[in-house]
Amino acid sequence: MITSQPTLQPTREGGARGSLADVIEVILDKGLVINADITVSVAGVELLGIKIRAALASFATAARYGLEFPSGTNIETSAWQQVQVLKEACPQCSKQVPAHELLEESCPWCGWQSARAKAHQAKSSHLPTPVPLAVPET
Amino acid sequence: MISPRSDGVTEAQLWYIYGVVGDLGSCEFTARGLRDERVSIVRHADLAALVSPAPPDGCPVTLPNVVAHQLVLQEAMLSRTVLPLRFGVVAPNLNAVREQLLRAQSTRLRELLAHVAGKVEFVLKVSWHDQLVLQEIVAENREIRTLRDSILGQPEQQTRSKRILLGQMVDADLRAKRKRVAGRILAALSPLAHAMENGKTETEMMILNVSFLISAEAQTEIDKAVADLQQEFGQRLMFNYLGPLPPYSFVNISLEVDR
Repeated sequence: MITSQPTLQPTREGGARGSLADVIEVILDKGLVINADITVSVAGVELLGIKIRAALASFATAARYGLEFPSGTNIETSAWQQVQVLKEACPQCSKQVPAHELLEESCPWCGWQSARAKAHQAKSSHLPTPVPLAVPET
Repeated sequence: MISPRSDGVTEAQLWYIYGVVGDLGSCEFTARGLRDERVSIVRHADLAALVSPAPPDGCPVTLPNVVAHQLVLQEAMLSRTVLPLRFGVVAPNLNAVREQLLRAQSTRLRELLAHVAGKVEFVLKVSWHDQLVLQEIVAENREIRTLRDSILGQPEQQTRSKRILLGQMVDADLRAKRKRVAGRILAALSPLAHAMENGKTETEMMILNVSFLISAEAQTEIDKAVADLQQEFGQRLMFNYLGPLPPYSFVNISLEVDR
């Protein structure tokens, strides 16, 4: 049975499967296209390959830093809460790890720790302002 | 906010199209469309398009826009069969949606709806756990083991050709393994699917990237089949299992609409 939870991730009684990035990739790459003068494809229907990857990378970056959200975007919605559990590639072993775990704790695969997690461990009193891990590719 | 009426046409308003449905089911949508707009329905006979006013400055590929697209289709999918449009299709007005899409393409749209009726898409991506599979190859292949041992600790310049040979041997083993494992996985899952679409593998370590069209009732079966495969292969394989989704991969065509 399909549940009626209004979350971005596909949901069933067995629990959600798949990450936000995977869902987005399907939406941008697949689906019915209407090819005619009646349609104005503002986004560019012909988004393919590397362009999708670039879009995903910029989404991930935007979500991570809370940037570039259009004014009026309600960030309390379930969709945005899903964004919070976006997965990130570990800079050391490249495996996909929930971004929060990767930033705040460590990579469960290879043990890589972010500067932020290390600083947090060193003096577990006050968190410094978030330091970007890497320069986002655009 | 401008709302469409079944008998009226709003001029000079672009309309974003989410998808086409054949059975309206509940007409109330709780999911909001792009820019938090209300989702409306444009009808022609038994067909309907899900639309919302498109922002005048277009609908760029931003995370909120893409999320909204999926949320609307996901809600629609709960109660009826839906033909999901790819992100980014905008019509110049509601009349174009009704006449040039729903009326002019009604035969094709009904065929597509019949093809995916009562079915959902699952995407399965399977990759090697790279360290484990390499260890496995080394453990299984004596020739590779011997060659590796003869290279270990030697300067790179002196062992260049050996290193290339080692890489080629590992690659050959990896290919053979991939063929075997992919065959095993597809043999287990294909009997559950009405249709399959092969996607491109995205990395060297990816074995499969395949979409399955599954009856909505067969979801627990494919869940179990995937879980069984996961158990069978253990840590060696990483399964990325996504669904249920509207059948994006099975309506992945371009409708050529007359001017």
